[in-house]
Amino acid sequence: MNLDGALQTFFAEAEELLTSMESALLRVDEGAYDAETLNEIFRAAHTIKGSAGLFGLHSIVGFTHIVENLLDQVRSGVMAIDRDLLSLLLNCRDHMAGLVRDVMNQEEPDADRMNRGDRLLQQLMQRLGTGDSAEPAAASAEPVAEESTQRTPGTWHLSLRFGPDTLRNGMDPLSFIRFLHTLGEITQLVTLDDHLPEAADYDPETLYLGFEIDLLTEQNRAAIDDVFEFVREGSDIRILPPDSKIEEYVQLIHSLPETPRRLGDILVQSGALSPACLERALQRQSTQDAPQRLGEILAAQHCVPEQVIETALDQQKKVAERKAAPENRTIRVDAEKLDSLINLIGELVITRQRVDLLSAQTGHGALLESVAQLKGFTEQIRDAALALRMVQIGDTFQRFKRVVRDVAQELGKSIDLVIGGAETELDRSMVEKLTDPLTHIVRNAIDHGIEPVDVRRQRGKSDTGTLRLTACHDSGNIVIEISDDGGGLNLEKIRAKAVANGLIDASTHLSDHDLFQLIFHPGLSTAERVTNLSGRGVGMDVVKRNIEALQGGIDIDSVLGEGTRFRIRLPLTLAIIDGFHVSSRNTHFIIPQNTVLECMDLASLHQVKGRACINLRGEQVPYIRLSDLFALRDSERHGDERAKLVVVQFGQERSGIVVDELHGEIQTVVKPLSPIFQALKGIGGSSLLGTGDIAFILDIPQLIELAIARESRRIGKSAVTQERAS
Amino acid sequence: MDISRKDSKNSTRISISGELTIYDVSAARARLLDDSKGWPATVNLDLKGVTELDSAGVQLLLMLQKGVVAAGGQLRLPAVSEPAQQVFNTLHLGAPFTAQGLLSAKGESA
Amino acid sequence: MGKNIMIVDDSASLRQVVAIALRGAGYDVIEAQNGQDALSKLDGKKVHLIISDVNMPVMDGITLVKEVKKLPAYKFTPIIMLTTEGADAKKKEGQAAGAKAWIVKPFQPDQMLKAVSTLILP
Repeated sequence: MNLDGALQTFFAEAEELLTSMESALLRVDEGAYDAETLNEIFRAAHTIKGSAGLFGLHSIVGFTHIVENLLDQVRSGVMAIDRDLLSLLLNCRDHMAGLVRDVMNQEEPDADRMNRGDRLLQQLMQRLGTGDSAEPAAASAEPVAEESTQRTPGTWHLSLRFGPDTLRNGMDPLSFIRFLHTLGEITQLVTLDDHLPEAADYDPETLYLGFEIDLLTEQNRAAIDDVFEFVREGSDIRILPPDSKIEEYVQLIHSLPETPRRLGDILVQSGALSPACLERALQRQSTQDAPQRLGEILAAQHCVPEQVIETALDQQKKVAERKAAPENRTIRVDAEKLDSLINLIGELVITRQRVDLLSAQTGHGALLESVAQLKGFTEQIRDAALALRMVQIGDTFQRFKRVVRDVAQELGKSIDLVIGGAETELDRSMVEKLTDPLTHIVRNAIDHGIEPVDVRRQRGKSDTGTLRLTACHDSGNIVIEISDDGGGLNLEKIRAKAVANGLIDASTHLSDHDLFQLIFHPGLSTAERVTNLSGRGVGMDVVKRNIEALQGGIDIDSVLGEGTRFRIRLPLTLAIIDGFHVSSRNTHFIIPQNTVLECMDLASLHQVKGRACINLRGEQVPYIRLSDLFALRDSERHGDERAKLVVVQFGQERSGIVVDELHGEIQTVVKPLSPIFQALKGIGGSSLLGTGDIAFILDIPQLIELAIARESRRIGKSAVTQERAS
Repeated sequence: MDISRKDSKNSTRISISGELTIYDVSAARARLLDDSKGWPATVNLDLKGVTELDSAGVQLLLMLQKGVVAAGGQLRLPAVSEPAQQVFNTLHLGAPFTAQGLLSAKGESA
Repeated sequence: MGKNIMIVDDSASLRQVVAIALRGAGYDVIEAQNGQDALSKLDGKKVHLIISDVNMPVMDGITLVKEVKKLPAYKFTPIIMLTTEGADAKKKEGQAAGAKAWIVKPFQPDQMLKAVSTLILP
């Protein structure tokens, strides 16, 4: 049996269950102490144990079994969940996750894991009292070893008197007899109809037949016993081994409900008893009062109540109604398959563009029409494929409940996590890369943002701090906000630290916004106290880098004493973008469409004297020349008279980009940059055009930042310096 | 399950076709047992159309036989389908049924 | 024609393993995720045996047994319940509802196969 595929299912399922177990535990922490939640926790452990057992994963079964026992007591109300127990259960969940991971990585649990497991088991046992032990689950998975030495064939005698309800319970003596055939040879079988009643008393669904069977087999007692596992209750099943003594047969005759003569004849026929033995036994019987027992059993058979089926039609209707209820059907698809589909669609988009160009050259009307249709469909396919990869951010947010709980508990703070916009969707690949930066910001907010209770009281705030995680869509971007009602950023401290670290001059004047941005510089942390949670100044710079790697940006807003808000802005997907195709010195660039505000002739604009800055309807907007930035040149002469300016915006910031030519909108597939280009500021990726040319995808947040930085330097240095003419 | 009955001067022919299982025995009982008054001495039970037979069905057939025998008649099995025959074999029920002591006779081996 | 067995469990991996074992032995297998799913998948089909977990979301196994027993076409279908150690109260309730065959989790695939074979051969 190849169970590899099923094992993969188990891993995915275990992960899902452990996630839901965690979130249910956290709901309990928040006060949800309802049967549904407790059952959800129990069921997670229960299901993992059951499935792990199928794969023979004993380490998981053994541990989870104890957890399940404890959860069962919680569920049934025998044990109450207190804070300590909740922590223990969360730790157990983590340990289970670790055990599953070990199996997934095909590793043996290391010493650390084992010790952790032992410690947790000890704590679980203490909770459970001493009665329980880790053994039963493991033991039940092992086959019973009893009489395993028996391997020589012998004739067993089976007397089967199934319960009167056997047929009604869906079980048929025929099935058991058929199965006995698979264990050996049935050398004799007698169907006993002695108990068939008179027609008036006959209930066709009640079982009246009995069976006497001789089975020649090399199986042991346990194997034969097991056959009747499901009917043992309510039935009279007697099994005599091959080497039984004559007295045992005689005793059997006397203890069964049929007449001794009847059974005796059968046993004589099977060779178990000699006729002489039988006569002796029957003589003894005459002094006893056996028939009475027969009567008793028959009486018992007759008092079977008729099945009430009045409500059957009613129930059928209910079932039909249920059928109509919509079912949330999902299929699990390997993320790699999805990625390869999206890659292929990327290629399709490029090819379609090439076809677009070629067909335009032919001027063939019908062809152009078809190509236009093709364009429509390709775009729909692209959108549909990308939608497949979209996931709700809620699951990611939920994970932070645990982070918040753990960190807050460690620091002795009380914090509420409020989640908003959980249904906001973004690309799955982004979600994965977002977890680390978000975690860091959240930890920071709890550690440094939200004040200790005494400080909060002094400031007239509630004891419990609030942390908000929200998401929403905003013009082709997803915006994620992490805000707290803590102490806010202290601008003076940031400035002092930045000066001390040589980041800025003591005399430099910076806006509040720019000062806030300084905390993203490496080596700057304003916390006076260093904890093991957010560490020493490492992190915020990494956070910013991570976000920028996702073509996104991060902003801070803070009011001293009132709180801090981080705002992360990200594109919805990294795979395919709608872009605006421009070129400068015959080099092609793509500007993400959602950042483009407007395009105009540079010559028509009013330039601020001495600065790389235009006056756009009263607002000063810095600009940057791509030819300058990337040191592009070619044989032609280029003057400003034909240059174009594209105004782009990211977040609150705007800037202009000066190019030679505008080519229009284009749909393009983002390819990662080769490593040699990665150091290049302002380029986020590359793309292949329909013509076969390479185009560079501009990283607008970086470009805007660059334009602003250059411009502020220029102002800072001297207004006298003439702007270099290009 | 479908039961049809054809009476002639000296015998009755009962044909059972389809499934004769626990799901059918309550309905079949009415046709087979409650209806048995005044049958001629010989009842021919045609089982060649039986597609499925279980212990509940066997019990019903045995009840039928018991009734026929009690009334002084005789039950014959002129035609038995393969599925029904397999069940008789498994239970070592003599086939064809005979009027006297069908069950005490040792059946064919399964 | 193989015998139809329906396996009802909210664990996809458990269903998968049981299905692999049963199909390997020659049974046809219908999978359902919970009691409600099972009821909708019965849908007049001939099902010779139902294997069901007890603790499932949406509709649990005990409710499923009660519902199945009310359906004239399925009321005598044998049902094997998958239970866990120490769930005696549930077991009692299930037995009262008519589920007499119980297998304790965790079990090995061949254990399941053997238990199934005693009730119905492929």
